[in-house]
Amino acid sequence: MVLAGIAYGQHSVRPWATAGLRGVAAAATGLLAATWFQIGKKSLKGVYDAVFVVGAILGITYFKAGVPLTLLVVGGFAIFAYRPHVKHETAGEENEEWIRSLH
Amino acid sequence: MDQIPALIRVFAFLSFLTIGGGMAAFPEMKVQVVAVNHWLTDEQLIHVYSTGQMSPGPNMMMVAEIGQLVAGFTGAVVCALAFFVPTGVLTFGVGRLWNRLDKWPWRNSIQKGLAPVAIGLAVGGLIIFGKGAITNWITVVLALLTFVAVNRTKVNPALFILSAGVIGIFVLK
Repeated sequence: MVLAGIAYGQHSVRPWATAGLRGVAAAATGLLAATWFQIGKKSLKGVYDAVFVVGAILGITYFKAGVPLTLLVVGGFAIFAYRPHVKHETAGEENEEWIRSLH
Repeated sequence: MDQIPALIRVFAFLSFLTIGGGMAAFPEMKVQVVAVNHWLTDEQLIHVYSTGQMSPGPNMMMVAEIGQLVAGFTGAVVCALAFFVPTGVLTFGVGRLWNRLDKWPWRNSIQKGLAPVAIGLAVGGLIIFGKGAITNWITVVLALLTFVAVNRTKVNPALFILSAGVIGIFVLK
């Protein structure tokens, strides 16, 4: 990468170098989109996931909230949405306990 | 050389934002490198990322190239270390802790909750990158062709990247 940096520093003013890098940048966009499309297809399930993906995208691109704030807010909501379920005693269990207390 | 402390500070900070991959840190990198510190222009940052795509190794090794452009060889080494060491140490530490928290009920919640957010952050970074990279219909076609080819074929993606570079030399001048 150091050599690439040196080469870029020397040749970045040449039109052919800029044009080549613009082509690479376009292909890199397609490559990254394909990668995240495949990852998303495998790991996202349900409406909640879709909402949090869209929330994070909007936080970064539309609201320009920055990565730390977006991560904190959307990540916080996402973790809360998937919070461990508190085990509530059922009415039947409560009744059995009350009946046992009569003996 | 006077930029070295700023490079360390910025890239160490960015290293903690790479949740889900390096692309998640790209929006903040753009803010820090282009708008705040004026080390590179918007276009240069896109070019540097592109050269990172063409080089072997993780594409976020591009940070070394940013360091090279700002402060020479020392800058390259400092940027690479500042970017990869903190997150490497954190991953090692969290990995060990994570295994111990096997029975912790929130463990699963954190995993399930952060997965879509990490994907959203990376896609957000990709959109910001794409806004700079997709500038005319030829770049749209190159991006779409790569997207389809990567999804439909098993050909090494590096070939598409290099081909797009060659096509760019002739068509995007």
